Amino acid sequence: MLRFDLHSKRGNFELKVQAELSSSSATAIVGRNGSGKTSLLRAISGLDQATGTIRVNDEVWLESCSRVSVPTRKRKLGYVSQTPKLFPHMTVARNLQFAFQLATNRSDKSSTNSLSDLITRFELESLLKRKPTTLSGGETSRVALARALVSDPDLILLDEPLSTIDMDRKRDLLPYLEGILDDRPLPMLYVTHDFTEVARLCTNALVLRDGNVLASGRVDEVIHAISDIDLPEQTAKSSLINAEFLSYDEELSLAQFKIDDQTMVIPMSELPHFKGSVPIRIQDRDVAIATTKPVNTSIRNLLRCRILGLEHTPASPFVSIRLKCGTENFSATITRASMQELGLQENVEVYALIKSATLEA
Amino acid sequence: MNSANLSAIWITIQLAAVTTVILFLIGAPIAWWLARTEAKGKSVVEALTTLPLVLPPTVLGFYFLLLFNPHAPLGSFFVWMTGETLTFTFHGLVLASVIYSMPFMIQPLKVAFEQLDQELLETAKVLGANAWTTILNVILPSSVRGIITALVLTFAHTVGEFGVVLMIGGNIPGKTRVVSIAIYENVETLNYADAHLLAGGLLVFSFITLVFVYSWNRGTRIGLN
Repeated sequence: MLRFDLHSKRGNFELKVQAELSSSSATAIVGRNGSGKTSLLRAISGLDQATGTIRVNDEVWLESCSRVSVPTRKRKLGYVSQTPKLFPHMTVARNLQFAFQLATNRSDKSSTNSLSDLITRFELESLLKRKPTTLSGGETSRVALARALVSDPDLILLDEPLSTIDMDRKRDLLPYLEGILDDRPLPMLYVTHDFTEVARLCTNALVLRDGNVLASGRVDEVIHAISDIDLPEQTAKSSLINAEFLSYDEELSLAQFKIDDQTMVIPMSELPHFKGSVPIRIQDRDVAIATTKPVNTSIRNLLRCRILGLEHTPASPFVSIRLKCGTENFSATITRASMQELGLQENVEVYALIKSATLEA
Repeated sequence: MNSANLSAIWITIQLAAVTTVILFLIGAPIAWWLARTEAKGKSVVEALTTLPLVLPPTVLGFYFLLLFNPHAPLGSFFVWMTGETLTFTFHGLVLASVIYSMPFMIQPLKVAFEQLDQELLETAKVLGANAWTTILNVILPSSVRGIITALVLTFAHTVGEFGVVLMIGGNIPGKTRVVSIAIYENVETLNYADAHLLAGGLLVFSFITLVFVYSWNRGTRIGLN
């Protein structure tokens, strides 16, 4: 378990954050640039001075009132920064061994992960003899992640560890991170801009604004509890719904999903490897609304929904509509003109026309 | 080559080597402090450590002579400690050389430490490294270019010193007579053959040293230009 109540001040920026996180899950730290995400991780790691308390499991890392502050090097944590730093004068193997030596010096019990396990898991065999300068961004991230895990930490802090990697490579790396969490549940704080990562790795989210906690809780609840202003600039607003995988049509390359008593299809080039319930992301702007069931349309996904609520700011030409389909909620963004023309209001039954949806699995 | 010249060469090498080692031990912490601090006294310390670069050696030599005098506090303290004087001894030469060559050690080290990636130090901390482990495994290896440059320049500069040595060391063969003084002596006594040998040797040595330093530092600043 990780519990903290922190206060720090650097220049004009003040961080005041309090949270309690379970020991077995990853928490996404979300917020705009300058909202205090990195500052929070640095305060927890002890790299920046802060006052307040930090407790990890039964250990106290910080308790200002009784003047306890464990130095960074004695906090059992793994930290991968935005631009992961490998020691440039050491080979990949030496980087890992160095971390291993330090970890065995730090803890009296031999509570370290085996190097060979980590090397296998992160597929580093072929990189071991190379110098960091010859590695690609993705390879560097893999080594940095493995190195952060050598000490078998009590807490993992990841500051956009995949931000320097392009999208495709990112998809390759996510399974490594998922593997970490599956094998050894431990509290992880994960700063990210990318909602694919949030959805796949994190069960909880903590939203920061100007150094304060704006919202915290389960990812799906939190995402819509906040306004666009608090999302990173590059993130479009979207919803996640859970759907059950039904079947795959090889000839048309379509996967079929069940939501409540309705079906949805998503184009897929090959047979999906998952089964059961999977998260599907729908961007608000990809949803159109019709009051009667449209016929002769190219849109494959028509869901019968009920309007939960409408939301708009006076100056904006757009309206955000919350929709409920069975047990799942999602949102649509349409113009205010359309809303008036269709006479949309709460509790009205409508059809949501979903132009595109992506699978998060 | 006669034995007097050989002994001058040997004393020069000893002096330069001892000076370089001592200066590294003193200079590295000062350079580290200068590279990292924002303290008010920084400019003053920086100016003090660079002063020998601009002062005529005779000025330094004059003050060393006053300080090293067995009746002055520093000089008498040294006599009390070791039974030897600082003037006209090898110890005095070392002490003077340490001051005289200081900028050549501190400047390249300072530049190297300034260029050190702060995040590497933080990474070491997070992985559990204490200060000493970080110095040995991260700071020194990452600054190796600057360190070699500083060592080589300090050594070469000490080999080339003349004025300060002349003022405080005198010219005692086998004790304080270094190559530059020996050349002076040889010229004074019209022994041009030996003067050529030593001067030419020094010229070639200095040239090779600088070629090494500049090729080693190709593309990086060394702090002296």
